[in-house]
Amino acid sequence: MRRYTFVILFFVVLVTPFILRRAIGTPAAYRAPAPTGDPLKLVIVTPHVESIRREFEQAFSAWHQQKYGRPVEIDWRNYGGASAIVKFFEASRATYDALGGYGVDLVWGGGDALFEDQLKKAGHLQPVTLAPEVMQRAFAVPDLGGLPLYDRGTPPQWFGTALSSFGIAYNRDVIAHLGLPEPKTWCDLSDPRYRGWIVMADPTLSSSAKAAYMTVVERAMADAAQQGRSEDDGWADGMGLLRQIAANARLFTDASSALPGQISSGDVAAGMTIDFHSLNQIDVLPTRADGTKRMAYVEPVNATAVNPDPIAVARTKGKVSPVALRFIEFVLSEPGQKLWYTPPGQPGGPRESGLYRLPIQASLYETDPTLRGKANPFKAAEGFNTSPERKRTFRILGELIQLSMMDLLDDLRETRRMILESPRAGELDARLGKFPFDQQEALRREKQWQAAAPIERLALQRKWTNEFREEYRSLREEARGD
Amino acid sequence: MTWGVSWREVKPSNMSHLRHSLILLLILAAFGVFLLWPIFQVVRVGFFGIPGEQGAGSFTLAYVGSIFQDHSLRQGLINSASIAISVTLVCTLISVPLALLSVRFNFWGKGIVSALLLVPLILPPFVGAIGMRQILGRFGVLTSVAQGVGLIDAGAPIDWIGSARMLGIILVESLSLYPILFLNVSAALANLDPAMEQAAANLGATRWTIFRRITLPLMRPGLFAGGTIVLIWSFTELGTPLMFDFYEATPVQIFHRITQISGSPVPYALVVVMLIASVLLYVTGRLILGRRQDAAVTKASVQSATRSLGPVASIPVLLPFLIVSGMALLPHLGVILMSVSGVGAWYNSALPSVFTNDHYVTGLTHSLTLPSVQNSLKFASLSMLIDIVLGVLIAVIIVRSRLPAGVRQFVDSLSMLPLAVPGLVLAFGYLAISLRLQTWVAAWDAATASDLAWLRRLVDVNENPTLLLVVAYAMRRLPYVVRSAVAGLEQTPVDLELAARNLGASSWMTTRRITVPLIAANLIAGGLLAFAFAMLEVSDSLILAQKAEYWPITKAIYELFQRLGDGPYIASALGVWAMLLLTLTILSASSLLGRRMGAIFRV
Repeated sequence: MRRYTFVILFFVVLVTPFILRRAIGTPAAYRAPAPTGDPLKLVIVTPHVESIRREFEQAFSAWHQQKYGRPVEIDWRNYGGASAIVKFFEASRATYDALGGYGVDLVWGGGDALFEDQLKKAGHLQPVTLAPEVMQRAFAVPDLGGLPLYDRGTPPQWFGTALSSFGIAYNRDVIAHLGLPEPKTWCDLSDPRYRGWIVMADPTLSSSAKAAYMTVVERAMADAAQQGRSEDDGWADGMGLLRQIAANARLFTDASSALPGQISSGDVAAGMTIDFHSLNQIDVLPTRADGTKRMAYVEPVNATAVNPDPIAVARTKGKVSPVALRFIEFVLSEPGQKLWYTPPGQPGGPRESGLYRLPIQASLYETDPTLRGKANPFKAAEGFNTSPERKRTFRILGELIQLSMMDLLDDLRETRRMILESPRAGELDARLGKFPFDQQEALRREKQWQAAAPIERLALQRKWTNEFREEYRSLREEARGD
Repeated sequence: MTWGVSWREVKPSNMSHLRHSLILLLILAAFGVFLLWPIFQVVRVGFFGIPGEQGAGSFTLAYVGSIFQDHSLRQGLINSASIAISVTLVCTLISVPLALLSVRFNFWGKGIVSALLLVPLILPPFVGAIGMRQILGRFGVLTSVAQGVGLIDAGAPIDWIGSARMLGIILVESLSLYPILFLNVSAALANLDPAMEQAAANLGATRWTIFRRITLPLMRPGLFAGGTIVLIWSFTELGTPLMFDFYEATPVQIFHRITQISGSPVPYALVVVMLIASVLLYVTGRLILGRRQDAAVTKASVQSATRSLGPVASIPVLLPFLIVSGMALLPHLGVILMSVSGVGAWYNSALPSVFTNDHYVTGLTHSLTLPSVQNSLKFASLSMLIDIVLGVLIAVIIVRSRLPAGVRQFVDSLSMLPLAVPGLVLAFGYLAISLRLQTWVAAWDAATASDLAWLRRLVDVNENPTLLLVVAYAMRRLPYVVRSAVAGLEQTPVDLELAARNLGASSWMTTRRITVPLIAANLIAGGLLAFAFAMLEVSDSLILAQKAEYWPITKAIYELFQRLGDGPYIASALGVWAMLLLTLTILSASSLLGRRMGAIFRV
């Protein structure tokens, strides 16, 4: 008998999930409505998290069953973030040529930069026309302070489905420990007392992190314009501010979704995050005796960007699947839009998990009781929003941050430390807070970069890194008084 | 060695030479299609550039050259090599004494501590990272314990992970990799003929001399087998430096650059450099430890003498085991506590402030869980079978065949190559060959008007990744089985096989009745490692298994891990469950063989 003890135990452990499921019953959240008829299939490439995928699949299948008499099963393909999605399409080009399609129906999520600058430009998207009433309801307000919420081509190639914005998430305990006031502006994060306590995400890997950094730079450009200086010069202020914040960085993570977890665990004090990442994290944290939570999220007033998060049909030589178009229609419809923000369990809301995102349909901010009284991004964007005009350096931003900050992080930290200890701290820190070149030069370098073959890019990379290394070295020398 | 001559007279019949040549061809074909082709798909980018990009298409060494001009890439190589060498040394220092103690003494609690020693092997990687972060975080367990006992001031967090990253990486990797060396060294020691040591002692040698002159040289095959795996593994390890946010290490640099938005051939060139460096490390290790054995003609005819100790005398022997396992099991402990902690309730305290079983209920009843467990069991068992068959064939070629030494050496190095290829690279390679195969089948379909839809589904990872996943798992874990089988064969005197052949047994009969039973312990050890690691495989699983229907358990855990908020807790609960299942797999296998856990690695 003893011989078989472990075998028996093995099977006991193996069947535990079955028994648990039987005993407790499948939680309501996982119970799909009894399907009648064969489910239709839909393949969607997405970086969305499991909760978004599950909630939308269930809601859409039920909606489809009711309207068209058949449920839908979605085959989610989650390759990773924006860069992995681009890689998937690039790698599947051969499949497209041979089979006339990428083998996927839709691509959903990853930010408008991914759709506009990468997928659309590379020809991976299929222009589609939606019913006029769908467009009218969803996009009654078609832009956010000048930023288009769907592709303006005819027919359009992508449609915004939700809004996301950026802000500062911070850990109240750590802030208190460091003796700092709660942060309110991007500038606050450059306070040297944050040294080693800021977390940042790598803009060459995360498109949302890059968009957040672009916002900081855009705000500085707008400030310069208000002061009567050129936006080109303001660009250098913004990049310089990022440099001072980076000097406080404990690390650059590879995914922006990792930031809220590190902030809530107290491993870092603060970071720039996407709204729903942080709001979701805060929601699950225990409430303390004084009614607060240990983590908080704030959006700098008149200094944050609101971006649409699009959906698009993957390019195909054949006919676009009607189910795919119905999915877009559903996401843009009121039942689809309500899923984003309604608390779980409430009528019209998700079954199990809150999604904490903002709808793209402007009227909901006025009419829906859940949203009324809360910050309206359409109003907020009237004061300031990201604009294509100020975003011209977007394509080189990641590389510049990599070469000047991430690759030289130790250099940069040491430089700022020595500057602040020197008698000329004010003057030298101001120089660190100003990028060594302005927007015009950045645009020139971008052209050079885009035109360069991969091997020439390596030479450029080395050259530019050396320039920054040299700049930091000479700042350190001046700080030492040499 | 006077019988050397007579061996050669019996041994190399033309038949066996032909058979060995055929096996060689089979092995080379398997390696060619499932290892070299996918690697080639990735590596050629390092020499030719990214297909379709400007300047791509013509051969250049410029990308490889640029790595040595780049300050941070150069430093990455140096760091990775230092980590690898240090980890191998630390692992040796941990494993050899423990293996000696475990072979020499029968002590109280030996069964349990021997099992505990192996537990570090069965921790799903990212779940282990969750546990370590909880313990080493600025507001983690270690900080609160240090505050509690007054070592540091209250409210003064310490950045354990951030302050000594290299040291931390070396420690964490050593504590998770030493079982590989321990298993191999114990197997070698168990196979050692105690008569040798007794003879030396009889001749008046001191214990140290016996260890240095007899034991150490005789256990060299095991030391080499385990040592090279640890060396190359730690050289190409991605997860641990990533967890410590240590980016100046070659595998991390490859990982980051390969996933970057703007594609560059540099990471692919870096793969080339890492491959070459790994082979160099392997060859160096071979020169130091892997010289062919004179002693290979001995096989223990009696079990080595183990001394039984009473409970009190057991304590000093038990202590080192407990200390090592205690440290190595810290991440497991972290994961277990995490799995029962309320969300966000384990913070700035030694233990969670709220306990719950919610995560187990949510995780175990989730619709992703059951099918993914079934998939993993299927994939891992199939790949283990492939490994054992291939592993024995390869070992026979390396140890027993009379093929030219260069050929055998080549097969040996080839079989170690999967260790040197980062999982991510192989995964991308398999993705590329899946696309290639699909287009070929489609072209074939179009050209011949045949309907090969079933074949296209078989090679299309998006439709059904089973075939490629099983092959990928098998290829990546093959080195363990090969090394175990080779070590077994090297320690088994060929006389036993020759005797069987002399008595008229066919070669198949000899293999079945003599060779395989003699090296069974080695095969079980290697096979279990292959199985356990296949169950826990990450990179291939994440990249190749896209359809939820075919997700292995690691992919399911990763998906749930990414749930915002309670994700890490649910992943921990599933991780604990998976650890339990794997521990029981290993224990079942050993109990079915009628031997205790600690004894299955000896004959």
